[in-house]
Amino acid sequence: MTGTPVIDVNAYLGEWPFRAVRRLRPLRERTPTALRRLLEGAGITRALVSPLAAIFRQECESANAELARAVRRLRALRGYGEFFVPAPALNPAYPGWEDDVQAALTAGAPGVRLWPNYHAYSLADTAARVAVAQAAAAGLAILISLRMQDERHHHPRMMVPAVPADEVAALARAVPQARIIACMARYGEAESLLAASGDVIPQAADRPSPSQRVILSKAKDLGAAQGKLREGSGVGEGNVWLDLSGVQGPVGCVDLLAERFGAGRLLLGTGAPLQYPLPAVAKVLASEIASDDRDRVLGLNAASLLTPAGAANTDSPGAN
Amino acid sequence: MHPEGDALDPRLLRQAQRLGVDRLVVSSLGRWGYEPTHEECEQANRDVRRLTQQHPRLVLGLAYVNPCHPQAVAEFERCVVEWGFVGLKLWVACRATDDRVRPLLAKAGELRAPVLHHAWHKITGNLPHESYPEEVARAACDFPDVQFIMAHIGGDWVRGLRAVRHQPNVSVDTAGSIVECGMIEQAVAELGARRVIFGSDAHGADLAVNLAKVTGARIPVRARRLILGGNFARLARLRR
Repeated sequence: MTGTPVIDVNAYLGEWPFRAVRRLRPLRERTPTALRRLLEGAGITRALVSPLAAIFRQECESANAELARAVRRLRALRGYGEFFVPAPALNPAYPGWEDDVQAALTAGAPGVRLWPNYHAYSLADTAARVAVAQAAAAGLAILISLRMQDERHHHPRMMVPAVPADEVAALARAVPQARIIACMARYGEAESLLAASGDVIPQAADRPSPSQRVILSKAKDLGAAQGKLREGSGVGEGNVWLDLSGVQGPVGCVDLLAERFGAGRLLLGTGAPLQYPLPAVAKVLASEIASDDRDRVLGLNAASLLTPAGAANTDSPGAN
Repeated sequence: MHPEGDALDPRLLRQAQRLGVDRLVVSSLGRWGYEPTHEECEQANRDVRRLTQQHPRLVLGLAYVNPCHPQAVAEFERCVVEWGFVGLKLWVACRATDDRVRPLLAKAGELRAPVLHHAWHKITGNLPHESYPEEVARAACDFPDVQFIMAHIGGDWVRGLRAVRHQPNVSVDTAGSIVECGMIEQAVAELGARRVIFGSDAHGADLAVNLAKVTGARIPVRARRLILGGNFARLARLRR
């Protein structure tokens, strides 16, 4: 890992009201400094951070401004450099989101984060697609959090279903110029998302995903059905990447995903400070993928993908 | 951890070797039916026995039974006495407080075998016979000589810890897909390091992920050692 950037694409700043994170107590420790210490303890050298406050406010502007101030303040400190990279929130269902896209560009953010479930809209909505297309055209990557916390543990009066993986895949097909990073998907969701949105590697293409198996089993003309699947799924466009922070199994999960979809699609993500960062790094380091693939998952994929807006490269970096 | 059939995934074996995991405590849940027949449980236990024979230095067995079947006690006893299994695994066929569980718990006390009991409080709704952490605590209160290990820290670990903290014969295992920051530190703070036990839930969950929850937690080295092996060795009376 020496010299390899280790980039966390799924970290947050701010308070999560449903859990007291013991490691970040007392109050004075619940700061960016504490988060940085936590991440560095797992070997992470850079983190894309989004403001948790934006989840609970329908407008994202104030939370994004707080995030930008925090990142600016930290960058002014000696030794901080560019450890934190802002990924401001975007809520296409709230008036003025165009200003939030502009503010993200001004802040030098490489991407914006969407919480469709917490902000109560569908990725199939026209407003969402227009906003994503506009942000993508401006060179911003689109991070979509499928969930924040295991649905089984939500507050009984605040249960928020996960964003359906097929909505993310459909969005990717509908806005092919968007570089979409799906965050906190579970293994099954990750499989179906990546299968539906591109670049199943050739030797694994003969092993369709469960959902594809259903389609193929019903098809009279197998060849045509396979062609249609590939056509419909945008195979070859490959505009979805997967943050691994929600994938905790099965055994060898990183190997299994890399074998099927290529290491170029996978990105390190921790979910910190809500989740421990070390398991995220450990599952990549304990995988049996080639060492150069490991470096790509740990940070090189993210480094290529998350170029500052304006310098975006829409090629799929490292895609197999 | 729970294998599929009578084979361990080679990935798991390689991962265990690389990560320095030198014992796997294994129970088979058969075909993962929520209410398995007795024959399914017997087959699951035969599978685990085969694993203990194939990997005698690596694999320790837990007997899996469905308490609803009257033959469950005899099957549990056979697994421990004849096959050298080290404890009992109970999953979701029957609540911990169900009267049909009591003979098994009495037998566990007699055999001095720990009981690994699944528990979860799901706001989305539990399975019909799935135990809540409070029920594990209640069963443990009725059988103070039996050592319980509540799986997954009860799922929603904040709630799980509250439910069992005053029941000294309940430990918790750390296995599963939940990797929330602070869960291990909180478990150690509330229960003491001697009541927290490392688990993975492999094959369904990744071994490296689960090990890193413990190795990355901010706890004393001595606590980490207890969690990673000392506590289970003590409960199962293993010779180290």
